[in-house]
Formats: sequence, structure tokens, C-alpha cells
Amino acid sequence: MASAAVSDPILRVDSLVKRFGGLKAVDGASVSVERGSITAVIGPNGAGKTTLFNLVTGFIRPDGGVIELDGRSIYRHAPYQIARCGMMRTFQLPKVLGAMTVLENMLLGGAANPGERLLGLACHPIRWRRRERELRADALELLERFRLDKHASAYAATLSGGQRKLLEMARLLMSRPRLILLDEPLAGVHPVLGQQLIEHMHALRAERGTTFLFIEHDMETVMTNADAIVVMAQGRVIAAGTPAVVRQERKVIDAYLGSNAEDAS
Amino acid sequence: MSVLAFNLTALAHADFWLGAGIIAGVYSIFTLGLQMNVGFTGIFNFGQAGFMAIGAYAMAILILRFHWSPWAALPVATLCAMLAGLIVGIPALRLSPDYLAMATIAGAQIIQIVAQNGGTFTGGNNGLLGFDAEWQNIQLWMLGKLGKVGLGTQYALPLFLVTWATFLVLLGGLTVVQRTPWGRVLRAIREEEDAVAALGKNVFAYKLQSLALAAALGAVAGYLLSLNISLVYPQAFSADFTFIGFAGLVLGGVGSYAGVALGSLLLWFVLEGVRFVELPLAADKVAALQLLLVGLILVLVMVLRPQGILGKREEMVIRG
Amino acid sequence: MSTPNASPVDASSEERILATDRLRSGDAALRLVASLPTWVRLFVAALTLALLFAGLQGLHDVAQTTVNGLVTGTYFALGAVGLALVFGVLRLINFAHGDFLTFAAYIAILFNVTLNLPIVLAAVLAVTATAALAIGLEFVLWRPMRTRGAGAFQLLLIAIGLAFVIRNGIQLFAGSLPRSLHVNNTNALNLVGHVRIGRTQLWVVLIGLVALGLVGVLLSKTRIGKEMRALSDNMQLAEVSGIDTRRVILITWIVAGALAGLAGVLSAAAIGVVTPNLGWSLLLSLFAASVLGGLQSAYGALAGGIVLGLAEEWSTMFVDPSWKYAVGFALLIVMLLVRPNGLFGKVSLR
Repeated sequence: MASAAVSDPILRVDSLVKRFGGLKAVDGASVSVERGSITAVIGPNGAGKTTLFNLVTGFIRPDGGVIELDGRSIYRHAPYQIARCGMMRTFQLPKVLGAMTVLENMLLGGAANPGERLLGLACHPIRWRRRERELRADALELLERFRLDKHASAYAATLSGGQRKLLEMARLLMSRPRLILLDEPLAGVHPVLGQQLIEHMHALRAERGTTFLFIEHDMETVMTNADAIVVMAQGRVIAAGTPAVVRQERKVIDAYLGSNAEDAS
Repeated sequence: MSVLAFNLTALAHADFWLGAGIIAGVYSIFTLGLQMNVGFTGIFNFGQAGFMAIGAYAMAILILRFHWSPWAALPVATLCAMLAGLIVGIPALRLSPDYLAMATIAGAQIIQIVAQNGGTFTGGNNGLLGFDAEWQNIQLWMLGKLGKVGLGTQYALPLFLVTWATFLVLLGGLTVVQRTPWGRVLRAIREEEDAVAALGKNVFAYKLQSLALAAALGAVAGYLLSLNISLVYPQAFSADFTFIGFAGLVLGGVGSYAGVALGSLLLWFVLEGVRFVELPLAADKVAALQLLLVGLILVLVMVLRPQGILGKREEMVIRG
Repeated sequence: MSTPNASPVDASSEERILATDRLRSGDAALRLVASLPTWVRLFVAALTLALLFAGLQGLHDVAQTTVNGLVTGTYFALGAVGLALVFGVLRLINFAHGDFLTFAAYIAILFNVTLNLPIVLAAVLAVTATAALAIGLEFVLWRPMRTRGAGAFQLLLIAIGLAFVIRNGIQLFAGSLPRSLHVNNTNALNLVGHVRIGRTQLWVVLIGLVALGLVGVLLSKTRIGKEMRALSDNMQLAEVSGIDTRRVILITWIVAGALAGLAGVLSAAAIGVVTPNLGWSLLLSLFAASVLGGLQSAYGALAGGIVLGLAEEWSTMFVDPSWKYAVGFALLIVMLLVRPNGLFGKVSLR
């Protein structure tokens, strides 16, 4: 499978299983994600892609298998623990806090803020205020980069779908994660904003070495932007490798690409 | 012949206003806890009366059975209530909102039944007396001071002042805390807890803290309630208390700590006022009328203006 | 990490497909097989407990409390099934359900005692009136709130407010002194040995079981019953497959209201006296019964009601009867913590 081909895996999944009632949503999926790569996860509807994301980030409890981040097991860890270990994710429907301002959303993403703990509030009044100021500066910088700075004081509920996706991404960058999972980042987003998102992805990978794993249906985007592709069908990983390799694989063509294969080449 | 006669002389008595004011104040403190849970964390805590009971009983038992000084008993009893909050919260906060509501109501009922059947330890249905000796001294001292401004005969005034002073201090504290990063995480949890978890925050721990703090607030309300009648007895802490608190909460506005006072005051002046309209009704029917009004307020506010008087429409996004 | 009761993660297309497959494939058969062992397990457990108690307290006590438990269990079951039906179709925990029971009891008293009509007629009128109340509320309150997209918190408080209004409205009119129906509460029958059951209570059990049986037939054999179960499983899917959801919801309220009405009349007859607090004090027990049964399963609520009735009555062998209700509440809490999906463990995809 893919494991053999990856030399420096930041994320390793082996024989992961998840059952809902009598059906296996994920049926022994195995995949390794190369550090610093931009890897796409593709597959037909119902293949188990989002379930895989949910399992790996701790939002759903797996029924068996191995999940390792940087060589350490994160199997059945709580979502917040996995996020703190450096793997963060966005959601298919962006979860921005509409009742808070854009800036507050960003500040929420800040890590190591003693003001977020009751004891911290009481014992380190100077320290947390200082951290708030630092985070505020970070936040405004990121907002500027994502061209959302003009909306900083607006309620996040006033943002468009695409802007919310950008906010969600900017927000999680506040904690500088090493691995970012994007669940259908382009779905329902204006192509211009979508393109910005993709550009940010490349830029961040170049600057910080951040690894990206994203689920996408748009074949053209995937083929042009991904270093590696993981193909899922019926809860399993049926192929993995570079776009050129994956495109040729018989089973992938059978399961999914069909006539798109000719279009994409 | 007038059908509806107001007992105006009674209304003119300061006692009526002070008495109603004390109850409103107790409810305000009680409802601060509800506001923190419901309005700021998204937890449907319907067992707040149970925490109130634990605080009040712990205080009375420590003073009466173990002969502690009230100054030691009060903080320890508050810690007991907070501990109860943790004990309830650790299993119950995993539940979805509707189930949590059920579990907390059931929990509070059990506490009431334990208090009723606790024999001499809890005083059973008759309750516990005599824990307020120290308060009586303080009250006399205060009345002495008030006498210097001609208010020495307003016997309800000391407790009224203490109650509202306590409320204002707590209100101030909560408002300050709400503006901190901790408060920000709480508000975020109310709206979208998965996002908060995805950002590396331990949502469960925050919910526990919120519940424990609310329990503490409930305990404080419990002390003042008990001092008001010099008695700690089971029926004072019924489930109805929690629901009446909720009526005040939604009336004043979910998401506004100041609204809590407004809602409680409005509610209690209406409820107490009912007693002074001379309706041709027996006492139990007057009580029924009061609770019926509470129910109507709950329904009408939720149907017509769910954000209450001081709440904001945009913030009316409680998960569920 | 998410338990079945944690806030749901975004419903992905995968999970929607799964839901469809689940309904189409032989899941019904799968579920029956999966639940059979639980039924069997439950029965064996009950039998073992009964034998244990018999050893501790004597056969007579066990038999008598079992009989008492079945009486209580019958009207618990009737009330709980109504709760479960409403929750299944509307995902609404109707906190006012207990007061439907009170309403029915007092209407029955109005016709039976004040207006001197025969008990059967009074009961029928009470059941009809409660069903009418249920539909009335649907039109006036629930449907408009649903259309407006009211959240769970709003609906919860509305239900609680409604409970207050109904309960205290009754007290306003009828006072708080205990009342009784004109039924024979003294005659008792001897079953085996010295185990007795009141004549009225025997009727309660018989009528109750017949009603429960009819509901079972309604749900499993009639078209409307299947539609109710379809809505309960997956509302969106049911709508898409052409079911008239508004009609089904209406019928659900009628059935739930009628069952609550019957439960109210029967409990008034069985207990002997009613106060306006009847339904409210039963509410938590009804919740416990529904949760035991898996909250959205009508069959589960039936079993849950009987189990709870037995549990509460059996507990009186060991503790003071005033702790009886605490047993029910404790059971509710234990269930919520350990098996929120009920004894029959229906996995929910919500």
C-alpha cells in the first residue's frame, strides 16, 4: 500500500475500523501522510473520507486499528488533546462562532493563554494580559494575510460561506499546527476565494513546512495541487501515490474516475 | 360593590416591598448561576435548587451538629455545593441537553427526598432551626446603625441590604470574568463546542467549572433564603424553585447578567402583588394562580420574545 | 470520542447514505435479532432477582409486590409510550405530558363525580378530551414554533411552562384537596395464596394491557403506524419518500394524548386519590420508563414502564415506601449515565 512509499510519515493510520450498527463505514483503512506534503483524499460519496477525518481527529471513536501522529499513538484520544499535539482540522460546514466577532474568533484560536484558565486569571494577571496583546497582534496579522482584516469587528455570522472557510483556516493557524486537515475546503465557495485558500495552503507549506491533508471532489484542483493522492472507496484505501501513478491505477479508474481520467490528462 | 379590591394599605407598607425585595434578591443570585450555565455555557442545569439545598443544609448541619462558627461553615458549605456540582457534572455533562435536563431534575428531587428522610440529621420535614444565632447578632447591630438614620424599625432592611449587596458584588465579579479569555471560551462552547474542542480546549473541564460555579452561586442564594425564614427545610428547595428561576432568567434575558436582576424583580413583584389583590380565592388557589403566571411567563416569553427584555437577538443561538 | 449523545458531528454524505442503507437493508430483521437476546436477558434477570428476593423476603412479599408492580407498571407504560411516540416523531421531550394525565383524571372526576355519569362514559370523555387538548396544543403552539425554527431550549421551556399552566389551572378550578373517582376501591380478589389485587386494579391492568396491545398492533400492522415509525427513524427520509408528515404528527399527538388520558384515568382509579400534582409527580417516573426503553421506541417504553413499576414496588421490600420514588429517579440517572440508549440499546445516528 502507501505506507511503504512514505519515508517520513507525520500521520500513520493502519487497519482503522469504524462500524455504525451493522455497517462498516471505515473497513480497515491504512494510509501514511508524508511530512510537509499536500495530500488529497478522494473517493466516491460514502467512501468514508469524512469519517476517516473524524476518526483521526478524535471526533468519532474508532473500533480498531492504529493512529499515530509523529510516531506517537493518538488512538481514542480526545479531540482537544489531538489538536494540542499539532493536528487540527476544519469542518465541511465551517464552524465559526457567529455570535462573536471575527477578531474574537481568532483570539479563541490562540494557544497557551493563561487567561483561559481560572487559576491563570487569578494568579497571573499580568501574564495573561500580555498574552492577549500578543495574540491580538498575531490575529490581526493573519486576518490581513487572509484579507479579512476589514471584518475584524464584525460578527462572524455576517461573513459569506467562503469567508467563513478562510476564517476557520486563519483561526487554527493561530496555534501553528503541524498538520492541517481540510474537509472539502472548496465546497460551496466562490472560485476566487477558493483559489486564495489553495494559495494559502502552498504558501504555508513553503514557509512553515505545514503538512496538509484535504478532502476534495474537484479533480482538476486535486491533480494540479496535490503531491500525493489517497483514494478511498467503501471504507478502504484502494490506492495511494503521486497523481501520475494513481491516475493509471485500474481500480481507481474503475471505482471512481471513469471518463474523468481522459479529461484530466 | 367592588369585585377586585386592592389591599392598598398593605402595599404601602415598606415591609411588603422589602420582603418581596429579599425574595427577588435571593432569586437574582440563584439565577446568576443559571445564567452562567444556560446563557454563557449552554448547559441546561435544571437541578440548581438541589445545589442550593446542599449549601444550606451543609451550613446548618456544620453549625448545629458540629458546632462550627458560621464564618467557617459558610465557605466550607459552599465548597460542598461546588463538590456536588463536580459529582453531578462528571457523569451528567456528557449527556445531550434534553437528557441533562432530566438528569439534573431527577438529581435535585433525590436530594430533596434525602433531606426529607434524613431523620434528626437533616431535621426531616420540619427542617433545621437555630443556625442563625450569629446572623441575629449582626442584624441587631445593623438595626442599631440604621436607627441612627431613623430606620431602626425596618426589621427586614438588614437582610435586604445584605442580599442586594451580595448580588451586586457577584454581578460585578461575573461581568469581569465574562470579559476574560476564560469567559470567551465559555461563550464559544455555548454556540459551537466542536469548534472549541478542535482548537485544543478541554470543553468538558470548562463545563465542569461552569457548573461548580453555578452551584456555589446557588449555595449563596440558599444561605440568604434560609436566613430570611430562619429555617432550612426541604420544601423550600423544590423543583418549582428552579423553574421559577428560569422564568426570571428568560424574562430578563438569556445572556445578560444584569437582566437577571430585572427579570427576578419584575417576576417577584408580580407574584407577590397577586397576594394583595383581594380575589375571592382560597390560599391554595392563590398559590396556584402565582405558579400559573410563572408558566404563562415562560411560554409567552419563549414564544413572543425568546431573548427576553435585555437579551440580544443575535446571541439567541443556544445549541440544540 | 463522541458518545451517541454528544452533539452530532456534521452529517456527511457518507452517513446519510448509511442511514438509507440501514432502512432499506434487512436492518429491521437485524434489529429484531439483536433485541431478542435483550428481551430474554431482561426476563432472565428479572426472574433471578425475583428468586433472590423470594429467598430474602419470602415468596408472598415478592408475589404481592410483583402484582402491585404490574398495576403501577401498566399506567407507567401507557404514559411512557405516549412520551416515546412524541419524542420519536418530534424529538420533543414533552414535559407537559404528566399534566395530560392530571387533566384526564380531573375531567373524569368532573363527569363521573360532579355530573354523576357512569365511570366508563366519564373515562371515554376524559380520553377524548385529552386527545383534543394534545391536538389543540399542536395547532396553537408546537406547529407554529416548529415553523419558526424554535430551538430545543425554547421548546423545553415552553413545555415546562405549559406543564405549570395546566397543573395550576386545574388547581385553580378544582382546589388542591384530594379527590377520588367513584370506583370500588375496597373490594379485592384473592389470587394465589394471600396475594391480593383490588378489583379496580385488576380492571386497570386488563384495560391497560388491551390498550397497549392495540397500540402495538397500530404501530406494526397499520399503514399509519409504519409511517410513524418511519418518521421516528429519519424525518427527512420519510418526507422525501412522500409521507404526509403533518398528518402523521397530528395522529401521533392524538394517540399520545389518548394514551396519556387513559393513563391518567387508570392511575386515578388505581391509586384511589388524585391531587393536581398527580402527573407532575409521575413525570420523572415516566421519563425513567421511556429512557429505560430507549426514549424513541414505543415498545421499549412499554417494557420500561413495566420494569420501572416492578422496580419501584420491589424496592418497598427493602426500604421505606417513602423512598419508592427515589428508586425511580435513581434508576433514571443510572440509565442516563450507563446506557442512555435504553436497555435495548438502539444505536442512533443523530
